Amino acid sequence: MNMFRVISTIGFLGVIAAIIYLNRAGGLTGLVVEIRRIRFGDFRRDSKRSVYVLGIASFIILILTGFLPILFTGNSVTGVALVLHVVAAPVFAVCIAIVGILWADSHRFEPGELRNRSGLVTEKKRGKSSKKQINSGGQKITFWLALVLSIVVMTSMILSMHALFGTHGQEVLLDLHRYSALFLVIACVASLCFGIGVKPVLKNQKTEDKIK
Amino acid sequence: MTTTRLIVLIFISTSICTIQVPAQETKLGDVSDGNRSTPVHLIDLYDEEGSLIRPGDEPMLPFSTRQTCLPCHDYHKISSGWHFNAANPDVPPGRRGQPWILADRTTATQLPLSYRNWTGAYQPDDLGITPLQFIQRFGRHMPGGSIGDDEERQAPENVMRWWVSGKLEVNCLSCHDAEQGHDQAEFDTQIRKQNFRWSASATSGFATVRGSAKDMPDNYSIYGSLLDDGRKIPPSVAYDKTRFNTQGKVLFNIVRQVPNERCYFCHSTKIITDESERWEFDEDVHLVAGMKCVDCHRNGLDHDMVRGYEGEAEEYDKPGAATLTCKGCHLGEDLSESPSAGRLGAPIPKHVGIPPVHFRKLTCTSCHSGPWPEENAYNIKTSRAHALGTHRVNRSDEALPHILAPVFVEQEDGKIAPHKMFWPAFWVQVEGGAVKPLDPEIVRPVAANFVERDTLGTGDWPDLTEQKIVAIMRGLVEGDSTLTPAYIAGGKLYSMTESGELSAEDHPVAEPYSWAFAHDVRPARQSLGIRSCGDCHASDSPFYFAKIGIDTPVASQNGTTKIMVDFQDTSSFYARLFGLSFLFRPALKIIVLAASAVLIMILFIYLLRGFSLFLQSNRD
Repeated sequence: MNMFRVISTIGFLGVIAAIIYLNRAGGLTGLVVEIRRIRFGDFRRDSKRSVYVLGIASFIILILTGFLPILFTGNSVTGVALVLHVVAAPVFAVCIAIVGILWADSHRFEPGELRNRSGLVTEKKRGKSSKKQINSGGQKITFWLALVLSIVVMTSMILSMHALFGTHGQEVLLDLHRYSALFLVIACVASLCFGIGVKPVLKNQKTEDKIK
Repeated sequence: MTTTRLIVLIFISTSICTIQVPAQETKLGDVSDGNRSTPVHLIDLYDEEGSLIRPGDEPMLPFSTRQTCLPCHDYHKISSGWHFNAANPDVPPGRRGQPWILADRTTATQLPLSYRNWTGAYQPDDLGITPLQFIQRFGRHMPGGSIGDDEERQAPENVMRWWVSGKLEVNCLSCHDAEQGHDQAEFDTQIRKQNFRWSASATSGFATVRGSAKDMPDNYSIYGSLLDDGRKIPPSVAYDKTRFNTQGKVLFNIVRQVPNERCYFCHSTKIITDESERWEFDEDVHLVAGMKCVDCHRNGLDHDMVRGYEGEAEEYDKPGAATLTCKGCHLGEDLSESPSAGRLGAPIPKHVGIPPVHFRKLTCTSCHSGPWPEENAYNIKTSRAHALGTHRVNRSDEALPHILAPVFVEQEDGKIAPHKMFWPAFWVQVEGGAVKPLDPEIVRPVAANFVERDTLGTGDWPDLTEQKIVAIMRGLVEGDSTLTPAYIAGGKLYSMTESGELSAEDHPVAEPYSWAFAHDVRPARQSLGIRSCGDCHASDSPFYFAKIGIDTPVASQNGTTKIMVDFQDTSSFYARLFGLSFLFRPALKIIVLAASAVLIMILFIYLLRGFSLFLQSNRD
């Protein structure tokens, strides 16, 4: 069992634990609501949400195709899984770039925001549908971390496709790609954990929509 | 009484203690004194009885390599080496190698044979082929020894013949004779005449052999016999007397480093192309650089050659062999405590732009060895399969056996490697589902009635229609009613139904026989992938989609093909799909690079903004 398999197994056990925790706390409901709200035509009307969901979908494909082989067989992704991985990659790249453009401003840190520990997590009691309330300090950190890791994930693989690096360099790039992808997954799940207060916000938003 | 017993006991114990086990005798030539020059081999000749040979002897006898070399070399140890130990069941067979191929046009046969226990190859004994018959057929490219030098293996009915022909001793000259006049083709000539004990002398360049032991009766004696047929010439040898010095010794040009030409006699490959001009082909890049075959394929006194494949070192517990593989020389091997890469000046490859998965899935030879793969696998001829280099070679490009290369086959270790391959074709006896090959000699008399003669001498398949196959099967049953004959060819088993019709089914016994090859190694700039990934990953690349003809004499199956990917653990759908993905790869690179650039810009902008805010807050 190679080192990456061990580390990714531990990482994914943590991810699964976090997802179970999120589910129990109702934090996944927001995501489910987002997906359920998508209708034909939504992509034109609500491009932000659509890009987000498309990005999540492609990210899940990348996670499944990239990590399942290494977790269960110890081998790198090959075969049809690799083709799917390669197909999902540009979709994810485009989505993450758009998400970056659209969400960067709402994830700006305010002066002194992180001085208080409680600023890391969105508080459930704050029910107003304001962007600044949705994005807690923790979410902001994980958002920027995800952007940085996405750059590493993408460039490491693209660089390996060019005749620039020899065998050792290729191995380093592959490791970089794998580890950054693992931490990207962890960062995204952490973002969900920090954003657990999203649930009531979205519920309120849904009620507002109904009223409208 | 007690005193007597004590004396006897002391005597016995003293005797036991003084009995010395004779130490293993180290021969003069088997241990180096450290001097790297080649010793001069000015030596006496001995016949097989160990008697000195001198010019003017009557009768003049051929020299025996065993007796001539024995004073200085451990013949017994040497004769246990790789080239001589095929018939020793205690020797692990190692990676599947080239078998001897029993090719016979009349019976439409190309059958893999080997005394080594290689999957897919048959033991000659199982077909009733005696060592004498085997040597007569294949001894042309054997260096002697093995079954030719082992009395215990000889069939009882051939014992008298062995007295006449003599043993086929290890012919040291086959490899170590650097004399220009050495003629290995003469070895074949003598083998065909059953002149086994004369064969080494005949190749030496200073002896001429006449006559044929095959024509001699079983009671023939080399020391003189009366022959009832004056037309038959008994085997005899005549030496060039000028080669004997005043002491009666002969100078052999023996070298430790075997010249490439000696290896080539048995290990040549001819690629059959439309423009098969010799000058158009290059040799292995290592040889062109001045190396010798034996620089990598080394051996010690035991002559256990390093074959050079990955895993051999572990399989035979020869750690040194790991440093002599492609990887061992060019990259270094993992077992060694000291740096082992770069042996013999081997450059360390950069493999720029090649994802590491290739090194787990492919052998080095996949990209670097053999002819550049084309739309169809090449037909090739090899020394051992086609008797190349001998006087009886059939120069026709269609001559059996039909071998294809390169075929990229997945090996047992999971790596894809270039292979040479042929489709076995032979007659079998079916017994309760088990399939056992029939000796072609049993089939020949029947088949000869139905197969047209090879008037052009091409040596190609006969035109074998389904009617002819049925007729041959009926003929075999008529000759022996206990037989349930069937025919294997082109991946199928042909058998006769109860209604007398021919049925064909895929059968594992009919699977093609393939063995990995490593030479000729092409220069790095001609290796697969040098132009682009498309060398292998295009949707029509030969690496996956080259056609492999299903070679068969059965007329109805002629022209059918498989593709390369059929011999790999990959589906053709995936190979094509993956190949197609390379069409979009430039777009993928642009999209992902653009996305990365956007993200970097966002990070940069917000970092700057954050920094300016930080400065501003500090100012406030």
